[in-house]
Amino acid sequence: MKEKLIDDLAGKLSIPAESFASVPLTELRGKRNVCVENHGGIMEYTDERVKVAVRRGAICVIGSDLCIERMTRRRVEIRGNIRALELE
Amino acid sequence: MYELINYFRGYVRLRITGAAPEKCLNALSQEGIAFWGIIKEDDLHYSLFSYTADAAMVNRLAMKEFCSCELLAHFGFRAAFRGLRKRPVLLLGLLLALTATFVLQGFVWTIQVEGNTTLHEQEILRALKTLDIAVGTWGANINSERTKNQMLNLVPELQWIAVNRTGGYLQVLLHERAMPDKDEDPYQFANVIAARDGVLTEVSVLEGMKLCAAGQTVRKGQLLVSGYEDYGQMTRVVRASAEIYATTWHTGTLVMPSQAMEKVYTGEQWTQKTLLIGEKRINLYGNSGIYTDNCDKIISTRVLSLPGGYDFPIVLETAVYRQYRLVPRELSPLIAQEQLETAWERLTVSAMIAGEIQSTEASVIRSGELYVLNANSTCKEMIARAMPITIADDGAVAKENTNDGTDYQRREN
Repeated sequence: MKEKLIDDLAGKLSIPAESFASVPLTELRGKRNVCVENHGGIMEYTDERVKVAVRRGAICVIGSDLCIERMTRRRVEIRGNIRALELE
Repeated sequence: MYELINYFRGYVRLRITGAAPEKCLNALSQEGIAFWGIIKEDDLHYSLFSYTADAAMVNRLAMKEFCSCELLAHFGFRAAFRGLRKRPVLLLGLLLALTATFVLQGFVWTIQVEGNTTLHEQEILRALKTLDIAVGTWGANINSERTKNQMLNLVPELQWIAVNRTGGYLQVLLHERAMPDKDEDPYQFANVIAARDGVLTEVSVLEGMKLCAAGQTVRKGQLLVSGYEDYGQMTRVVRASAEIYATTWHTGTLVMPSQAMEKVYTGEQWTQKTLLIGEKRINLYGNSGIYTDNCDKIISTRVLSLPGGYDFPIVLETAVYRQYRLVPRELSPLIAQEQLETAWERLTVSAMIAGEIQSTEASVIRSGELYVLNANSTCKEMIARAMPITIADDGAVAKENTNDGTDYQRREN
């Protein structure tokens, strides 16, 4: 209910939802780099799979030679040969 | 940019070992600790970079997550130069190098004068010094435009000058004013007279009225070419010019003592080194450097210079003193004759305007403690000499010359 309200409000005000709520933002740059903002931590970390916790779910990066390049409280950058992104 | 920031902040490589190292990563990110370059070595070992200041916090959080944290290496500026604290001489050298790079280049260390032909470099440097520009001057105080104007006033021979400074190098470019030829005679009208008695051999008149001919015998002071050119109806006064050669005779006597003082080196010698930095002399020897004994002083200098040819104002001067004593020595007649003849030849040539000695008859006799040379040389000599004619205010020519052989002179007389 709250998420829907935020979504509606952000849509009406033309403001990105992730700027005032913990809505995750995922950026995929080519096939080599993915950046997840507003994450909730690493749930799984292997060469083929990196699972990042987000609000109400997780984002799973699937590929090969995956590596967490940089991680801060807000964002995590994953580099490698990315094959797929799964939302859970 | 990140690399530069990381380099100056300093960072470490850490290895986190535990059953669930990713939990440790989550804890670090939750605490706001920056980390990067995370490599999963295996399921139990992760290694990562973090700032040096955060290393203790990482260790604490790792232990909180039941992991251990191992410090693998230090990186960054402090790590690179940490060893210098134990090597003060190297640190001092580094500081000196930095000082030389950023501070010393603010001063003028080399002054290069270019474009001077008749003016000596030292004259320019002296003039610059009166404007407080010398080796060691703070470069920012040099105003090129003002220096140019002041130098043009100080040195009238200059037509233009430019003073350019690049770091510690001051380039002075100049162009000299075209000055009138000093060899040119300052007077307008002149006769040509004989400088010496002789028999004329060649007469070549460029300007004026010729009053002599080859084969004629002339006396010293005799008018050879008149500055008055007689055209019958009028007389023109000119500056007579001629090249007149004659056979002349030089007779004289030279005297020299039969004993000469000769240098005999004692074998004792000293070396004194002096360091010249700019205009400062730093003596690298203990005593005053003043010797009362007879000494020959031979100075050699070594200038510190770059391979490109620019000289630093640092010079090592080495003076070698060789002590000698003067010993009277009897001259042999042969050596005495040789020295006297050489001196006679030099004296005769210097007495001529131009020309050469054709033959010399000389005899040397010893008279008591003296050697006496009596010599008579026959020379081919240029005897033409200009004698100025002065003109009075009312336009009349002053009677400086006795007789120039012209109608004008005859009428005047």
